[in-house]
Amino acid sequence: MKTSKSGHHLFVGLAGRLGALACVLFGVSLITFTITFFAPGDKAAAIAHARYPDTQSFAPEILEGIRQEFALNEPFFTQYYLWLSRFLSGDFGNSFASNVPVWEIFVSNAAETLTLTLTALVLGLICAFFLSAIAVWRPGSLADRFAVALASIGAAMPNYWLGLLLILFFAAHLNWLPAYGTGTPAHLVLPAITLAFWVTASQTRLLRSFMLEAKAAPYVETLRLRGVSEREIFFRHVLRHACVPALTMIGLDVASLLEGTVIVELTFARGGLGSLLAGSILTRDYPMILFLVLFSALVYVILNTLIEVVQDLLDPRKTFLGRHRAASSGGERP
Amino acid sequence: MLNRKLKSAVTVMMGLGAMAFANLAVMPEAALAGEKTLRVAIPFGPKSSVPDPRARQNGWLSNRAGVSETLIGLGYDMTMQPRLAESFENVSPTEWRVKLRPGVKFHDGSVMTAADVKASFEKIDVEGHPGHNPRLSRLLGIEEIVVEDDQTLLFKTKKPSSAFLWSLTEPSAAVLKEGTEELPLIGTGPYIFVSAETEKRYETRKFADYWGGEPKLDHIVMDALSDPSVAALALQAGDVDLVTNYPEPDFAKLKEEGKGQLFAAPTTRLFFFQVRTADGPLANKALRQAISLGLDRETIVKASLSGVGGEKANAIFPGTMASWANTGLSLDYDPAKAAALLDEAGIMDTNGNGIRELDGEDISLKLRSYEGRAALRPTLEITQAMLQQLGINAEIAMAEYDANNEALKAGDIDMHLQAWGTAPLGDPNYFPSTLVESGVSYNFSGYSNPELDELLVKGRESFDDEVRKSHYDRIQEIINEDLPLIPVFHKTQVSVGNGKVEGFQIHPAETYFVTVDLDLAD
Repeated sequence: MKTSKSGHHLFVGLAGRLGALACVLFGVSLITFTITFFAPGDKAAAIAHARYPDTQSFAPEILEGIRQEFALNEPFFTQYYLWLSRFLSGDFGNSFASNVPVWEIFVSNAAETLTLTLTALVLGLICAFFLSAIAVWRPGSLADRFAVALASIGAAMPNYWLGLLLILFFAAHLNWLPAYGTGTPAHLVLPAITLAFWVTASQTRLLRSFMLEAKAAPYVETLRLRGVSEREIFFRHVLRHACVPALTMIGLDVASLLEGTVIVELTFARGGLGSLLAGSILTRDYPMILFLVLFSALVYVILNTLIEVVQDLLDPRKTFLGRHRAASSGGERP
Repeated sequence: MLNRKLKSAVTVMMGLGAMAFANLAVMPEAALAGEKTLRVAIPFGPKSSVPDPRARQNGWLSNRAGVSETLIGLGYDMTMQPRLAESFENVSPTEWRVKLRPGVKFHDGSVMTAADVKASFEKIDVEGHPGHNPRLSRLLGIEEIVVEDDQTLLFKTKKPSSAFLWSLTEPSAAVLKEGTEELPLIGTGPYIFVSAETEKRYETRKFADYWGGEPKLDHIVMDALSDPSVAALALQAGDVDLVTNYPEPDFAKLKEEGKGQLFAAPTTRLFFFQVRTADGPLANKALRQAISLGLDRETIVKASLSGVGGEKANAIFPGTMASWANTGLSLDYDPAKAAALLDEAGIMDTNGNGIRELDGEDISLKLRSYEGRAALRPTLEITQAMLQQLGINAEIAMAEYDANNEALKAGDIDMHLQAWGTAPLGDPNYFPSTLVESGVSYNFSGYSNPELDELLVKGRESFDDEVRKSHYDRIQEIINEDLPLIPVFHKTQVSVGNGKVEGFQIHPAETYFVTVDLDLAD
């Protein structure tokens, strides 16, 4: 009986979540479509420029042909409805620039971005963890100051500049690594370091403060009085407490990493979703832009949901879908 | 319980990581040892994985890459040259006989015939075919193609068009055979298409049976590096042998130090202001002329392109364009003359605030440009400063290209700084008849000059190049006098090689790049 009740709550909760997700995506699609619709300039000319990038002028017949093809003479809501109904039926449209289906372009670029972001994230988090752990072990020590300094430098240094510096040193001067491109693990090293440095910088500052906060909590003193070793206090308690808020920030960082890939992929002339988005915006390839913006929104929403689930696992006080449990037990949780 | 969950989470993460790294195992087509491979950094990559040269503007890349060829070519002095056609003649105002070069082979080894050429051109109008191109179809205006014999074709156009042969130099007017799985693009050029990665890479290999002789390189890999600084570093690192669009400041430094294998040549790409002449302050011709006289074009080139990336414009076509440039014209910097001209026209600063007045009001012009070409913004900024020197206030901003056009058309702005290839197909008609002929769609100036309109019509109707030259000479003169367009500078392409590149030459319309002569010294 109890199982079926909790299963029901889980179902209601999940349905609520999915409903919220659909609402967010609908809102994003409407806003993005509105922005592209009201973007200055003739949209037919924009499509013509995407198709024929080396041409500045187009005959009126060519532009009229494009208007017919994309129903550009229709009012806003008709155009939005047409686009949305196609989108929902799985037809994401073709790129204006290449006429290749948007989905195919997306799939062929996703793997490279996944490789880059995952590598950078793992690398950056490992470094951030070690740096903040060393820093917190003895606050105010030389190691702590070093970690804080490194984090500040990382936060202040733009990806673009760091990327160029790395190319200059490791590719142009030392000739150890390729300056650009993809294909071999060696191609991944410099872009991953560039992106990871940013993760390390932002996470070290946060992890350090979360750990310091956890370390200063009154229960730590109680544990000490009970004779628990410092090592155990740190690894079993401090770290675990620091992990809960850190996870939220890491989740947000993953989403921001997608933004970071735009610059890094362009600097290192890698393919991927970041450079694809930048290229699409420059050529005003609207179907591609709409798809990528919706994808980013989806990633943000899914990541936020995942963070809540993982936080649940780590912190027994928090419950994903907790509102429903609380509601069913007849009141707000303390 | 928690540990088990964490373990599964770690396993999932490791799985994702493994998937991501599996992606790394895909290696690009590596050049075989002992073979000559040229690696080139280009600014823009292919638009799809099998870019049919006839569709959209794919032809520009495949033409530059030496994969596809046209019937007629453009020489390095912008004159018409036989290419796949051995000879061509005008039979009547709407008929052109083209004799094919004998012994030309396609990449699949078959000999090119007149029927192949006809079939290739017909695909342009077939909707759904990868080579479908409505823009090219309109440009060529072909009514019918008659195969007279294996080597001869008769092109019949819908309307008389003296520019027809020039339009055959358009890289999209390429001759191709239907592709196969093994050979997705079957052209006739010195190099065979191997593969393309969208916006990234274009790879080719040698075509030993090329009609112009055996190419010297085995492979060519063209990588799209949109950031010129990265391209320069890639050259330094030895990752590429040649950078076609090198950053101008670095080029100037290499030139000063006498280092590097430098290539530079002016192109037909013109940076110019389109001016609102129909209404507003710039309807005043003296004011337009004073602005042109007040522009120190050499300083603009020095400041926005390090003095190496451009050449001061004297008219709409560069002096190197032997076929059509009116070399007797000049656009000189003469601030004293500009001031005298303004004073004479009664455009003076009467209230002593440093700004001249027109019809009792301080002159304040709105100047716009757009992002996309690095030199546009500094050119706009320097122009603003130069106008200030003349006592003319200018408000500048970067906006969107088409939005600027609409604003100019509505008279909301006064000048729009742009960059256009003035003769992409070698014919002089395109640029003036698109921008300054009365009532045409891109005449956002609202400019109208019956003499110029008549000359443009005569230029299009005449089939005698000498007569045409005299018309276009006068057209260039009228533009310099009336200034509905104020030319600023012609872009110079700067390229740098690793010291081993041989047989490379910059084409003024950027139409060609890989030729049979291109080589890499040992």
